[in-house]
This record gives sequence, C-alpha cells and structure tokens, in this order.
Amino acid sequence: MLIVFLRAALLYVVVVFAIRLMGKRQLGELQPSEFVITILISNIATLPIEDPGTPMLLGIVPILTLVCLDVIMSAATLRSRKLRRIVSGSPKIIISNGEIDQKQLKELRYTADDVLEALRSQGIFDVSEVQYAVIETTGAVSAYLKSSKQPRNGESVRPTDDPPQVVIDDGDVVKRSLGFLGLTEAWLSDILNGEKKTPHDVFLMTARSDGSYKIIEKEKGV
Amino acid sequence: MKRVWLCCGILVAIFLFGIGWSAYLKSFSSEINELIDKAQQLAETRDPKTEEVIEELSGYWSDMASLAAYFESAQSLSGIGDAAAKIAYLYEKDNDEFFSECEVIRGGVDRIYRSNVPLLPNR
Repeated sequence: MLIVFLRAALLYVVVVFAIRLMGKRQLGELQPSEFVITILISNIATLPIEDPGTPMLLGIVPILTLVCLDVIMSAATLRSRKLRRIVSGSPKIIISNGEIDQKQLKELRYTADDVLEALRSQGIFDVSEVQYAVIETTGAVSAYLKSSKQPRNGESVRPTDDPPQVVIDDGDVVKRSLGFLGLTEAWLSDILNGEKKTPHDVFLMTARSDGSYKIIEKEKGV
Repeated sequence: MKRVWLCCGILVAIFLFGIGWSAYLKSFSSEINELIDKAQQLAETRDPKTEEVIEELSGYWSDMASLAAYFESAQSLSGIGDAAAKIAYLYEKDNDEFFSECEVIRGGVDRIYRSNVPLLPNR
C-alpha cells in the first residue's frame, strides 16, 4: 500500500514537472501532437502505480522523453512554417460569404450539425450572417460576421467584409494569404519599400483586401 | 530557449545512460556465462572448487539484481533470482536439476540483455 502511495506521489510530481516543461501552450487548446502526448503521459504514468513490479524509471523515462521531444518539436515548428503545417495542420475555411464549403466539410469529416453547434456557441444562429468561418488546427471553429451584422459600438463600419489575413509571419511571406486577398507580391514589396523594411524585419503583418495593413516589427534580440 | 536546451540535455542523458546500461548488461552477460560454463564443467567431475564458483556466481548475481531492480521488471529478475538461490543446494544434493537451473540463469540474463537492445523483435 505504502509503495503505491509513494509511487503515485512521485509520479504526480514528475507529471506536473513534465506539463510545466511543455509550457503554457499545453494549458490552452491542444494541438494534435500535444493531445497525443497528454494521452500517452496519462497512460504511462499509471503503469508503475498499478504494478509495483514495474520500476519507477520505466514510467519516468518515457514521460520525460515524450515531453522533451514535444518541446524540441515545438521549437522546431516555431522556426519552420512548413514543419508547423505538417505537424499541426493549417486552418481551413468552411464558410465563405455565408456559404458552407461542403467539400471541405467532408474532407474534415465535420457534419453540418457540428458547424451549426459551434456557431451557436458563439451566438450565431444564421449561417448567412457569417462572412468567414474557419476550423482552427485545434479543431475549434472561429467565425467572422459580415460587416452589416457586426455589433456597432460607435466606430465606423468597415468598408470590407474580409477579415485581416496574415501576409508576413515571423519574416516569412504567406503567399496563400496574398492570393486570398487578391493582392500581389509587388504590392507587398511596394508597402515594405515605403516602410523601409524587408520581410525579415517584420514579426507580423496583416492586411485586408482593400489594401489596408498593419505591421508589427520584430523586437531586437528575441 | 533554456527549456529547449534543458530538454536536449535530458534526452542526451537518457540516451547515454541507455547505451551505458546496455554495454554493462552485455559485459555482465558474458561474465556470468563464463561462470556458468565453469561451474557446469567442474560440477560434472564433482570438483571441490565447484562450490567456490557457485558462491561466486550467486554473489555476482545478487550484486547485479540489486542494481537491475531500478531498471528491469521484477518478473524478469525473480526467475533468475530463484534459480541462483537453488543451485548451491542442488549441487550439494548431486541433483541433475543443477544444470537446468544454470541454464535458467543463462537464459534469463540473456533475455534481460536482449530486451535492452533496441531491435524490432520482442525478447
């Protein structure tokens, strides 16, 4: 009895340390790799607790290995957008200008009920009010209302229905977003020349289809 | 970034420790095999030195078992421990099972070593 108690207590400390090592990202919505790690950790941690014949190290070593690999993979995906897309996938647009993309839904194995339920949880009961709805890599659905349906708070109504898109992500130009907004690389390079910046100087740049944009510069030494 | 380096350090430490433990098991396995061969040869002629070798074999296993308990399952160690505890008595009683119990020790140690070598087939 005492051995099970002590093992459970020790593994509790190890799992808490492991989750802390994974960082704050783990505490929010789970990415696919983090979801797998969480399930594996919870399974592995029970083995030495349930069976006193199994050495503690056979529980601790795989937990630390999985968590360390996850942290290293997170660091690698931070540097490579391509790797990030492979590991975590990319957001998919399922509603565009009030119309559901049925082909995309089928590919994602989402039913219309799933989408409507996700929209209702955000207070949206009519699909035609949605300008864009996106399934994030975590599986959560984000919806952007048409400008005519957005709540007014005294500010002027935006001239465009399109939400801003990321066109530069940590120094990398996202060509897909430019194409989506109907903008060109020449437009981007004019903007950057005007701002006397290169893409590498930019941490985040978002733009709308009307050509309005916002630039956040990279902080030095980060 | 510190976190990434810490994780790299932990992984390297686990990897090196794993290699070290496998190498140690390999040398232990070959040494215990030599002792078993020696004990079996001496036992066939009822050589008086046999008891000395058996004692050495049991002591050698006993030291190893206390270390292996940190890394190997109790199930894989208990079979060898039981056999190691029996051989002195079986030899004393001139029982032929002495030889089979020696083989149990040999097989068990070999299985522990092979289970630590990263290969696709199971042990």
